[in-house]
Amino acid sequence: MIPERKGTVLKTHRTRAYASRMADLEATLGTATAAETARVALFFGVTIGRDFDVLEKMGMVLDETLMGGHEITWTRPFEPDEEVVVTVTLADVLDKGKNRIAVIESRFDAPDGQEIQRQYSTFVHLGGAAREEASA
Amino acid sequence: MKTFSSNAPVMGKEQFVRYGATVGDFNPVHYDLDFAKQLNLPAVISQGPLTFTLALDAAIAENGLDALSGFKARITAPAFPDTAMTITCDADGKVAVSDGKTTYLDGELTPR
Repeated sequence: MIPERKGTVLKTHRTRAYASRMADLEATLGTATAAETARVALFFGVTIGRDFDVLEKMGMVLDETLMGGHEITWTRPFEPDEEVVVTVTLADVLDKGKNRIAVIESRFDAPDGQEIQRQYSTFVHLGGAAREEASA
Repeated sequence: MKTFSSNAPVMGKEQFVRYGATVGDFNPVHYDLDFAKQLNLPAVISQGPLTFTLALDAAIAENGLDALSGFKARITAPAFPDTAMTITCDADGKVAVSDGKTTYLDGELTPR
């Protein structure tokens, strides 16, 4: 059942690259280059919309799930307050022993469809594969 | 890619909360000590993307944002509050974040 979900769009969301949030991230980091960094590291696609429902949709229990990796590639930095269309997709899912590993792609586009940034976030649900097998 | 070794700004619980508010990550493991202890953790832990962002920021400081187009990393251990971490990068763009005992992240920069 789970492999058939590969490629499934988990969420689409329209938001903005809020200048206020860039300023918040800049203040949190507190370095000389934080303002530049905030223009590429402003979002975490998995929590876009401000919740973890994309993990829950895959049956991954938050307090049993670890983040294993993260990747971002960008064509350009976000402009302050520009509109962004976010598409979150299940890129891959596999079972390794008792654990389930899911890779989530988050694509950030301008309203005209031009890609700005893409993220791949890897999560490990401890015991997730064993649980699926037991409930099958 | 420039080689470097730099000290990351020290992130405490307050920074975890602020970062979580910025990106919408409200997992209580980042701010609720009782919740963290239920998971057998001694303290709250940093968001993986925050450690990732610290490493990326160090790379941008050395190379400039225009010189980069991506960063890929494995999160290898949870980081606890107030950990003094060092970020290193070799000429091939291989990045590591460590406190000398534990490696929290290893990754690779993509040049533009």
